Amino acid sequence: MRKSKLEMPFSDFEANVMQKIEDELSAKASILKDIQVAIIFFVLGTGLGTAASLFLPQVLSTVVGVSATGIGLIFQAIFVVIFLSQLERLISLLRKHRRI
Amino acid sequence: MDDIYIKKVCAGDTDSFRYFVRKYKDMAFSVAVSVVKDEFLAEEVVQEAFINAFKKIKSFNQKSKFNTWLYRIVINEAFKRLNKTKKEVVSFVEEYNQEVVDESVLISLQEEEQTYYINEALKKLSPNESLILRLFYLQDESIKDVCEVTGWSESKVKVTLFRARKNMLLILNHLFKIEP
Repeated sequence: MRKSKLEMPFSDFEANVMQKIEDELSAKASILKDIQVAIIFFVLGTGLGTAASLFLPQVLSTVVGVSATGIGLIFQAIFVVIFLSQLERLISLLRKHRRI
Repeated sequence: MDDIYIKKVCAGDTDSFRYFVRKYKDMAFSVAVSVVKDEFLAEEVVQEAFINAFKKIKSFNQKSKFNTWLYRIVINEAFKRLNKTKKEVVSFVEEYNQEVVDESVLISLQEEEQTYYINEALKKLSPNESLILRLFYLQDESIKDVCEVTGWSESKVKVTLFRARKNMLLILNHLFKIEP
């Protein structure tokens, strides 16, 4: 049975594995950078969106026949949708980073 | 020695992982071939297993040996790949049960011929049987170690080992008759 030990027949195996590990590491670093940028823009967007949804009805009176309260509600609805979709993207990016 | 390199890799020295690749690639390849029965698939399996081992090395529990941990990853990856490809593995059918097993024929062969026949026979065994034979005899693992590597119970390992030995001899006998 001792004679059944096989040798890796692919001479470039070691180089391939190390190259793939390097690729994985650079992909991980790149995702980390993306996450940092995403968090910054997410926080900025959330702050600006919250401020806009609070102050917009006070600044505007009517726009094309729609009252300021109506515009405020529409804006808040759009803001919530965008906020949730971006949050979901951010969470999936964090999960991807954890998997790598 | 493994411990030193594990610490180095954990500290961020990626190139130290080369030591493990160099040291365990052949045995990992033998283990993978036992399951998938194809050299190209086995290479992919071992490659994936090494990458997974690198990713998880920080969670490696040093209570067990590194090779035990690594071979477990290889085996899991090999069975996963086997199920995915649904490759038809030619398993030995016990139709030669009545034949007389003669080990002396094998012993009388040249070393290269012995290697050829043993590997051919291992290819014909089921993945579990060829895996258990390689782990038990090549690695000099105890039954307990084999249980740890495979995740099987002690009784399953013993039964599989018994059947594997028996089938191995029967297949060898059959091969000698086909290729005298």
